[in-house]
Amino acid sequence: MNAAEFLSSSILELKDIDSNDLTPELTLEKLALDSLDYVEIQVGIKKHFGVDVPTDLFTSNTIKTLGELGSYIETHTAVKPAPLAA
Amino acid sequence: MNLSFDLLAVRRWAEFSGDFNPIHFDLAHAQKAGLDKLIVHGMLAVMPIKQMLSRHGRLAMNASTEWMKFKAAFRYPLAHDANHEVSTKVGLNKINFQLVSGDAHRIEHFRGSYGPVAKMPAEVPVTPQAMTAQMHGFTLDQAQVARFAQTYADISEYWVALDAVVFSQFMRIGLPIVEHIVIDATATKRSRQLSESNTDFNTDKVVVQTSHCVTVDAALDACDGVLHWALMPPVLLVHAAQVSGSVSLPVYRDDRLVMLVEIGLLAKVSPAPPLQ
Repeated sequence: MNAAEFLSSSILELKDIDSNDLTPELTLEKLALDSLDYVEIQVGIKKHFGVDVPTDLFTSNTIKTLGELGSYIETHTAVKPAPLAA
Repeated sequence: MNLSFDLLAVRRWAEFSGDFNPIHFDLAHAQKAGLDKLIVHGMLAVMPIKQMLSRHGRLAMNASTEWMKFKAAFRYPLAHDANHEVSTKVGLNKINFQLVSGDAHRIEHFRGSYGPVAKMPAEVPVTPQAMTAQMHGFTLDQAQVARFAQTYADISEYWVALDAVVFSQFMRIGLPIVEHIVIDATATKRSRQLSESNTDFNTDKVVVQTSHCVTVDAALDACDGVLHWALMPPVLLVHAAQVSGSVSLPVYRDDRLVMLVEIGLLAKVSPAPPLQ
């Protein structure tokens, strides 16, 4: 599951929303997520991708859209060292 | 569906589950934790919802899948003796539910869903033999299974009972392990803060459950088999004032993964009063 697919399935679990409306341009503000929703998404990202998304990236509006959050996850997943071949 | 829980119901769940968090019984403690009333355990309040969705939901969705997933997000605490209403809405591939207050405010306390999923998360070992050294394994307490059947005779869905029993064992033997890991994680973080700000911190032992998720083999029934469950290393996010995280508990019948319980937790880390 890539970052965009993961975020779509997480948001569909949290919100009663049509999957067609989940575009990269959709703003987190429009999703009206509460603080526990953010915690749940952050924990899910850490669990599946090993990436910590600091809360201040949301509060400072550095990450405003689903697409930006997906890019952040992919960028920070990519910098992790690849596992050694067996 | 209407739900209300009194002190007796809360005590009965505490005795079964081992969850004696004082926010459920001691008003002064609840107020210290920022609540104005005694609150009902989230796990107790979702039990009849799980039973209803499991009995009627699969037929409504005509699901023929290997796994079914129940998820509840605990968003606002439920007070003792208050009336609540549960509503459901059938979506494309799941049933969404909402538990709201029965008064004019219609406060959303819980929301969640029940529906089929294609597979278990990849990180969960599919057999007990594949467990990593960081996981702790336990045998399912059959006496607790019998106790559940006596205490909650109206719950007939086997996975709901199994979920409650695993949760009760987690509260007694798993949570202390998780608390040690949280204290270690916050100590590392705090030692950095201490060197920067010279402030002392103290972990207040108010840990609350923020979500509960169960993925279960759709064909699981109460036939014989040796049951085990395991505690996977928790995933934690440590911030200055709080630690949030998720704990995964896979359940095995004989050598096969049949259920996964995922518990969302939030612990407040509060500054300690200055030393006298």
